[in-house]
Amino acid sequence: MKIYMVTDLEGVGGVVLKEQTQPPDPLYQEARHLLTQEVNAAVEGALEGGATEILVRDGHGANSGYNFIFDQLHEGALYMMGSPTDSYLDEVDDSFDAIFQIGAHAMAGTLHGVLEHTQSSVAWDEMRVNGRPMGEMGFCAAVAGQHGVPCVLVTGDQAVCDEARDLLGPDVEVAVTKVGLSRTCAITKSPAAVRGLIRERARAAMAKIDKVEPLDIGSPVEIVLRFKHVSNADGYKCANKRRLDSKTIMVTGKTPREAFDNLA
Amino acid sequence: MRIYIITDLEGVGGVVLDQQTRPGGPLFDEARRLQTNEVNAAVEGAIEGGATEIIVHDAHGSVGYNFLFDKLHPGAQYLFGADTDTYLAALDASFDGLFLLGMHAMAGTRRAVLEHTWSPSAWDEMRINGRPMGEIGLMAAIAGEEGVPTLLVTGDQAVHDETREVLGPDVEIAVTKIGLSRHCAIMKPAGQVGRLIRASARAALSKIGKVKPLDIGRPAEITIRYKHVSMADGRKCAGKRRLDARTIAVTGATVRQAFDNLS
Repeated sequence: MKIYMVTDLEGVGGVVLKEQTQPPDPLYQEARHLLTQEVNAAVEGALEGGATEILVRDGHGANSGYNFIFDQLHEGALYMMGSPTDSYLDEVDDSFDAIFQIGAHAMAGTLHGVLEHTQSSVAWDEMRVNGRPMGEMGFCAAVAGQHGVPCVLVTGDQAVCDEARDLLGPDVEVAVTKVGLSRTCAITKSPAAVRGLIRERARAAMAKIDKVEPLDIGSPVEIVLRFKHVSNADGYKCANKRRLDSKTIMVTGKTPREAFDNLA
Repeated sequence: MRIYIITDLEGVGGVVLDQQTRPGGPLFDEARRLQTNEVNAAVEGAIEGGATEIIVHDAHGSVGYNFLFDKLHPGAQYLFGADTDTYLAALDASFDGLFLLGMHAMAGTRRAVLEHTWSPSAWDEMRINGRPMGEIGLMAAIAGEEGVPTLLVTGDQAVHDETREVLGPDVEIAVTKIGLSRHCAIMKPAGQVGRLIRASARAALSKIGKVKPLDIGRPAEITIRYKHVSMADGRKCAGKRRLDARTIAVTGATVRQAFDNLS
């Protein structure tokens, strides 16, 4: 069983502040440690559940996609760190049996979603993919889905876990690391409890591989992106762009990945 | 058996960003720790393979001080610092083999982590006697002039390919990561990399006598194509010839001498 894990930082237990998500604040260095330990818990659980090959993508964009503490990582996986690559999640292909999303956050605009945003917290107001509001968690699942790969585990706050159940169905495993009370406040489980839960749910997720359908959003793919400011849309240049209104653009592609690459 | 080990930082497992290779942030200190562990693995493997004397040269950066000194393996001696009278001054014919650790591919290589030759901002291409070469080829050629074969090279997949091209099929290579772009790679975990380097270092000792020293012929001509005309305009060094707007050539009786003339 070959598993792809993509990680983010905002959904990690203990992370609630923006300062924790980017350098140079010392809190960011602490958050890297928390992230690394959650990755290790997920790798351990996946191995216990039968994974034989694991690739973990350091997917949090700050610090050029270098967030794990390399020599504290679990020995049982390979790790992809740094940026950029030629294409969005271009290492995901149909050789994988499932993907996990670790440390995910809710889409922009979600009430009580810790550090909620979609891609850019300053510029992106809402993303719709083929008419459906979608965040980063959903879009990663769609890219995996285009290869027939199901997303079987999502870890993060209550809001992103609700979003995952809503989008991916009741069979997807979730591990709730914290319950948001506002964008920057949460009741968070202890580190040990969070890691234990992630490990247990990662193991359980391995048994869901045949139960969770790959997310199929159809083809072609239309991404409608509403910005927060007119000026964000005014200045935006990308392939196949159509301007829908003052703050909104649309791009298309044959697949989710191609549409997203066109957006960049 | 006397082994000379030259280390760089870009090819170390876990290193993909510029900020990991320069002082000033926490990631640099992490990278020094990762590098020190790889050095220790190589020293351990070399000793297991029969090395009796080892000098490890900390060659990254203009200062040449990167190892975490009190974490270093007790079985070797360590050369820190820079500004010796001649390039790689301590590397002479008394050594039986050379290791190149933590190396990076030559400038311009695709899917090569932190690819460059000498100066990422200024050097576009180096040729030695007509052949495109990076730092691996340069160091191997200088060792070769002393009759010392390069036994082991460690670094990313691009380093592997470059080493095979320049040094042939017999040199031992340990691949630490596979570059997807200049600043992104798929990496084995640190413990696996350490064990691989140790095993490769041990195996490399058994290649003494089998791997030939690199011979690029004499005299040596090094041509440097810069990225900007202004860099060639301002370049003053012994025996310099200006080949075109961006390119200069220097010569020497040996590669080492030609390289010294360049600096």
